[in-house]
Amino acid sequence: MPYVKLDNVSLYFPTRQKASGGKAVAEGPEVAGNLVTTGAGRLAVQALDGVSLELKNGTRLGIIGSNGSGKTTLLRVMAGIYAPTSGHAEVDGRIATMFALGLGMQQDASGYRNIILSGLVAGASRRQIKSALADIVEFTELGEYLHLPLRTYSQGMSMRLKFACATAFQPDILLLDEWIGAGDEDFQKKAQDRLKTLLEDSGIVVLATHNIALMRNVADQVIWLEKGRVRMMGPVQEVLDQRGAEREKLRRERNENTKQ
Amino acid sequence: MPETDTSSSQTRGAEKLPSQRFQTARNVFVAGFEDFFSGMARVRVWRELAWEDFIKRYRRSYFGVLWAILSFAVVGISILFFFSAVTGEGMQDGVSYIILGFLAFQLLSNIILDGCNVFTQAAGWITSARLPLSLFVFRDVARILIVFFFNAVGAAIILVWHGYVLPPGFAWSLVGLAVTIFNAFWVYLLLGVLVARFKDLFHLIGAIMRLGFFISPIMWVPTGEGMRSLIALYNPLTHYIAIMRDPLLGVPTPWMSWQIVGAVTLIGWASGIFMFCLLRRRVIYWV
Repeated sequence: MPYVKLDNVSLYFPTRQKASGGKAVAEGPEVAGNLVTTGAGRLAVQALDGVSLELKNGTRLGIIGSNGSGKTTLLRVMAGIYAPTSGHAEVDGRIATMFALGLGMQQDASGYRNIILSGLVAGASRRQIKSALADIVEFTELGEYLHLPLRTYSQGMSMRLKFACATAFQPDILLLDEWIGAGDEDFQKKAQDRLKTLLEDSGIVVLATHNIALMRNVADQVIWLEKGRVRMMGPVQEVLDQRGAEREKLRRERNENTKQ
Repeated sequence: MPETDTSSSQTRGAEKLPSQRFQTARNVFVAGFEDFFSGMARVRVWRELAWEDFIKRYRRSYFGVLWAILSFAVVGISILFFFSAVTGEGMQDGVSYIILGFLAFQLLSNIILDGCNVFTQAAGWITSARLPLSLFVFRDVARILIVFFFNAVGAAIILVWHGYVLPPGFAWSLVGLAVTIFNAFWVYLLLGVLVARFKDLFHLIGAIMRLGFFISPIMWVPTGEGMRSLIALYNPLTHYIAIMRDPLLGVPTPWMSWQIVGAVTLIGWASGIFMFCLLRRRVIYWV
C-alpha cells in the first residue's frame, strides 16, 4: 500500500548572503518564507517549518498558500527530491510528478528522443516505453513535429509532450504542481479527462494550485501553508472558508490603515 | 466514462513503473553507497544521457561528430609543427611521444575540468526528478570516454600517417587507461561536491590545468637530475601519462609511476567517497 509520512519536516534553503548585523531576522515579508540566520552567519530561507502529515491510500490532498509558502518545496520533499534539513520523510509507492515545464527536457533533442529519455529517467524499461509510445504520440497530436528538436516547439506544444510523458504510466502517488498552464481548449479538455482517470486509479494524489475550482474538483482534504508551517488541515470547504475569512479581515485592516 | 479514458487507460494500466521507497533519516554512508550503486545500476539511463550530451554539441554543425576527431587532429598537428619549428628537430623524432602525451593529457584534463561541473550541469535533472546523484557521475565519465575514443581516432590517423607501428606490450596502455578511468570516478565524486559548494575552486583548478600542460612531460622529456625531472616527478599527471603512453612507445613504464598512481588512487577514492557521502544531500541546494 502506498503511503507518505512526514515527521516534523523542516527545510532551509541556504544562501550566500551574509546576515546584516548578525541578528536573526524574525519576520520576513508577508508572502515568502521567513529568513533565518544560520550558524555560519548567513541568511537562509525557511521553506518548511515542522510539517508533519501522514497520507494513506485514497487520500486526495490539496495544498494552498500564498507564493513562497512552501507548496512546491513540500511536493518535492514528498517526491524525494529534497531531503529535509531536520525531521524525516518516508514514502513508498510509484511516484509520478508534474512539476515545472521544461525541466529535464532536452531542447536540442527530438520529441521522440525526449519521450524515450523521460521514460528512462522515470524508471521505465525500453519495452515499457515502446508499448507506451503509441499512446503518447497519439495523445500529443504532434505528428511529424515529434521528429523535430524541442526548441522548435511552442510552449503549448512542449506542454502537450510533457503532460503525455508524465501521465504515460499509472502511478500510486501522483504529485501535481500547478500543472496546467499552456495548451489550447481541446488539449485542456483532453488533459482533464486523462487526469480524471489517473486520479481515480492513483492511491494518493497531492495537488498544489491557486485554482480553487480545480482544488474543489480534485481534493477532499486541504492543507493551508503559511510561511512553511501547516496553518490548518481539514476538509476543503472548512479550510477555504477559514482562509477566505482571514484574508477578508486582513484586507479590511489594511484599508483602514491606508485611510488613516 | 468518456471514450478517451477507456482507450488510454488500457495501455497505462498494463505498465507499472518500479516502486520507489525512501526514508530520509539514514546513515549518510549507507545512503551514499546505495546512491553510488543504484546510480551504476541504471546503466540504460546514463548511457543514453551520455550519448545525448555528446551528440548535442555537434547536432547543428555541418561536420557533426567528425569534429570530435578533427579538433584533436588540428591541435595535434599544430603542436607538431610548432615543436619542430621551435626546436629545429626533425618532425619524425618526437611525433608519437608528443601526440600520445597530448592524447593522455587531454583525457586527464577533461576528467578534472568536467568533474568540477558534474552536478552543477545536471541541476535541471537534479531538481526535477528523484535520481541517484552518482548517475550523473556515470553519465559524464561515459561521455568523457566517448570523447576520448574520437580523440584517439584522430591521434591514430596522425600516427599512422607518420608511419607509427604498435610495439610489443602495447596492451599495457589499455590497463593504464582502465586505471585512469577508475580514478575518474573519485575525481568526479570529490570535485563534484566541492565545486558545487565552493564555486571558486573551479576557476582555480582551471588555472592549474592550463599550467598542467606545460609542467607535464608532453613537449619535453624529463632527463637527468635537472629541474625538469623534479617537476615531472612531483606532478601526478606525469605518472598517469606514463602508464598510458609508455607501453605505446615501447619503453618500460617506471615502477615508481605505478606506485604513485596506486597511492593516489587509494587516497583519492577514500576522500572522494567520504566527501560525497558527507555532502551528497546538500548538493541540490548549491547547484
